[in-house]
Amino acid sequence: MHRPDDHPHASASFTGQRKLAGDEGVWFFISADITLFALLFLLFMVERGKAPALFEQSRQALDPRLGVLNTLILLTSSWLVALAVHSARLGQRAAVSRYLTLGMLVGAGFAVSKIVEYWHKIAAGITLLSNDFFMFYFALTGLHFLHFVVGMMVLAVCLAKSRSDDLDDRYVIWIESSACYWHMVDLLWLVLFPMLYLLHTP
Amino acid sequence: MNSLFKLPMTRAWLALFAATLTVAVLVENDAPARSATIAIILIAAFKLRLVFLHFMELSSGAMPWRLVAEIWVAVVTAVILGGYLITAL
Repeated sequence: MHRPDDHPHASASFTGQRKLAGDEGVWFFISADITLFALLFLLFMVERGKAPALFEQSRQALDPRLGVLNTLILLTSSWLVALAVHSARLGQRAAVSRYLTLGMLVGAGFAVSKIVEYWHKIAAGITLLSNDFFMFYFALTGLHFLHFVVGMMVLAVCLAKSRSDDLDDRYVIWIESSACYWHMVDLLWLVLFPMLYLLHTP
Repeated sequence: MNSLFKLPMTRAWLALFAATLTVAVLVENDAPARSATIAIILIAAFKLRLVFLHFMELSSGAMPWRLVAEIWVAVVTAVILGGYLITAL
């Protein structure tokens, strides 16, 4: 079996010929998905404008320190996955496996933090039905969390394939596409965090 | 290890980390005055561009996706900043 570890830089020339990382179909999906989220952000801001006092009071029940922690977790996980893509292009199988594993382990911290946060809210009697702010809070972060879970599964498939498949051009496109999806999860959180946790109404 | 820090995604990650810590300082100092909140929104826009350009590798100018990303960042920033200013002014 061909082992790209024995042939570093196996995919570097192939990658150098392309400008876009990942499959174009994935980029269509990402564009549609972030557009949908942009509409949801607009809807949130419109509703916030109708009841700024309620949104401000509700926002204060959220802990921004958890938001900062989640941001650092997702950014670090994204970086590790970007390093896995870089290693895949060089045909470095062990590094791909190492960075993907680390990326998933760090990423799992987001799930722990989010579950703890939901648990505290529900224990305090705060639910989706409490008011409009929390309806948006649970719906938007819940939808984002679903994207996160799908992203973790996609990374797990990438990890499994990195151990069983050749690190050829096909694998490089696969991991680039998966990584772009994972970075999108990061992107969406970079908007959700300040929008939900930090927009202070004077 | 040195080569790791020369990679564009590592430099982007360091910048993203620093930007997030800046936001944390603004929040911890309990300074969500109007100017601090505006700064937080603009820092978020800066971070979005870094992720698009250096993690998702659109800095190489892959069209039309680079354009889609730039427009998305501009629109989302305008929606949040505009919506915020309407209630803050």
